[in-house]
Amino acid sequence: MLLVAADRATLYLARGGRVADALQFPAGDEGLTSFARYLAAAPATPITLLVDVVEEEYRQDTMPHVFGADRRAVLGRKFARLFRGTPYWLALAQGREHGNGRRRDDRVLLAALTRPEVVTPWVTELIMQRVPIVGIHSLPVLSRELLKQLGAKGQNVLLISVQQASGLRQTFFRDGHLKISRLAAMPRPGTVPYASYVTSELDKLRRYLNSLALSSREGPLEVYLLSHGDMLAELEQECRDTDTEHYKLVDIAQLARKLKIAADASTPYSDMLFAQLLLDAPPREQYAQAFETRYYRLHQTRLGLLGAGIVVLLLSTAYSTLEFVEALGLKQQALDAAQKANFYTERFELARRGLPPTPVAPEDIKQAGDVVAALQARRSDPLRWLTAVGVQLTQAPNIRLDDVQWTVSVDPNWIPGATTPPESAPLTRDPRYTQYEIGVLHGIVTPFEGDYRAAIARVDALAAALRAGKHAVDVDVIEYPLDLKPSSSVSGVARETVAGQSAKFALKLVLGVPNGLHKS
Amino acid sequence: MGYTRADWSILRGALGMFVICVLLSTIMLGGTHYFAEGMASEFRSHHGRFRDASRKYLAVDEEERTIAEHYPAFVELYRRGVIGDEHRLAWVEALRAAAVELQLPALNFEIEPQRVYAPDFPLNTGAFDVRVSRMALGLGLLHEGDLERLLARLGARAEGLYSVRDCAMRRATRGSQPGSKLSAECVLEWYTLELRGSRIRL
Repeated sequence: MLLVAADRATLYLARGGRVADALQFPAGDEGLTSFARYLAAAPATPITLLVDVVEEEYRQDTMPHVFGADRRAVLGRKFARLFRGTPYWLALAQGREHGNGRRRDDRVLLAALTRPEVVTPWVTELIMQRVPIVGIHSLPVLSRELLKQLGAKGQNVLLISVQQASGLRQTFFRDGHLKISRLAAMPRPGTVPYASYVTSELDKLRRYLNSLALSSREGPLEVYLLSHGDMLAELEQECRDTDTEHYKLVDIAQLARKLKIAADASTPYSDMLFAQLLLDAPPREQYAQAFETRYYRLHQTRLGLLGAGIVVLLLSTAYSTLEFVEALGLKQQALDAAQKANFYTERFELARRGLPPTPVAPEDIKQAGDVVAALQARRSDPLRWLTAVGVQLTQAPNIRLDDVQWTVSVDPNWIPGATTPPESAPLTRDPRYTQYEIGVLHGIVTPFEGDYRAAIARVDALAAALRAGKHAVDVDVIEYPLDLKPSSSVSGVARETVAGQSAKFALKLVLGVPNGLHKS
Repeated sequence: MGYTRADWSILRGALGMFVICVLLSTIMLGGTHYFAEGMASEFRSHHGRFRDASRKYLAVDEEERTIAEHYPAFVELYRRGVIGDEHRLAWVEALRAAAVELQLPALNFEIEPQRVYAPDFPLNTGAFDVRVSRMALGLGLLHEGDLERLLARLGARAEGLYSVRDCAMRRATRGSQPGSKLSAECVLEWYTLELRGSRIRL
């Protein structure tokens, strides 16, 4: 942490996050050279700057309640108007105005370093040495954190501290919000009465507060004085509580212990307190510009990459270890299984020697028998179908059979002689039958002397007889001696008998084959 | 934020370390995964062997029973040409003998190459392939009973299992075989069982 004052900069070194040591560099070429030499030799650890200079101004202002880019634009315009020529500015949000029918604007405290050249040489040196700058903070802004440590919750709080680097700092807070801060030079100890000097400076600020009406009339002004040793004793003698002023004298050494500062803090100066506070709780609002904190962002990126790499390595190591252990377990189980497999294989071979040799595995022997039995059950020939037809033909002497086509299929709609499945399927499969014997017989009614009605009746009688047979699924007269369908054309001799005239017909018989009919 | 060469010099080490960490992690994960997969595969293999061996061992008694009960029938089916190689010569001889005995006016045949049978009904063939050889018969018959007797003789004498798939019979015409009253054309399917991818030999 680098505390920058007008005439010097003090570098506080921390160990384990606690301030442990300090180095001072005077302002000017000589100090900067020493600083550069130190930076070149020291590791490029991140540095936070804390500025405590007279040239820091504050303005109370209001602005529309906007966010993001709009807020930045409004603030940019305000700072350009109020603090021309400095890149170091910040805004502290301090609540909102009361409405009362008006727009509820945000209250802000605008602060800026009006003489940036106090800070820039140090910043430039840090950038040249590629030291990561975490931020550039204002000591009065940081004082808010000190209030929390002191437990200062009054409406009007005045914090007075003396910094060895800069002087007497008086910072006024109203309802916890920073309103104004003043830095005065502090004479060398022993040259002037310490307590009198402090109270005289306090009077000046009190008059200033009254003139601006910044303090609340409803509560007293709580004055927190930070000091140590004889100077603290002097202040105790000098400062007496009144109705409007309450004094709280704070021993810096005690506060340093509370903040766990490692270095010796037996001093009336508060520099180290602020250094530690900045390390513990840096305020969000700070002066640094983006290019000034570039190396810090790179530093963070670098740390992020290293952290991510380590996390990836650790996670993968953990996962790999678990998987490796699991794999070893599997290896052990595999060895056990192999041992058991060998044991059972040997036993099996021994037992197998007592069995007669077979060309196929024993379970396949039975399977082969089952397959043959299934084929046997489906075995078919036309004899059953021919017998069914023959029995009926003995009862119909006027029917002569000329041609028979027979097939077997699981589809009752199959047509004998066909090589492709039938297009229409009027018959549904009957679960009682495993397959069907399908035959088409062609014949003639003889003798025939032109009496179509009698011939058709004989064909129908044959069809009816077949239909009544056992397992007859379907009997269909495909062709009658005379085609009576209205859609067909018919020709013949109506009044006399013509030699050679015949009464042809065709008939289809489908027989169901019950399951197991052919089992043998 | 754009990076300059100087920025890269700051990040280079960390980036290199990150890449090394990722590479090491990848190698470690890949290696252990490979190792674990190998172990898992070895376990599955040995466990499968163990299950198979224990199942077989426990099934020896059952196998003994199966062999005693079914093997004679299996051997008989093999001898009859239903299992193993088909006996085409025996079919032809049976046909010729039947034709002579029945004094058939005509009998001719044609056997197609054997192929794997795809039944049109559900059939679990297990480790076997059912193979089929289609035999087309052209017959001259004296009467209808000749067909029945021919099929009966084939069933009794021919070594194999057959089923008639199609048959057509018609009265003899002038172009038919002399002496025939009927002509018939039938298609028979001869089935044999063979171990899939192997041959059964006794």
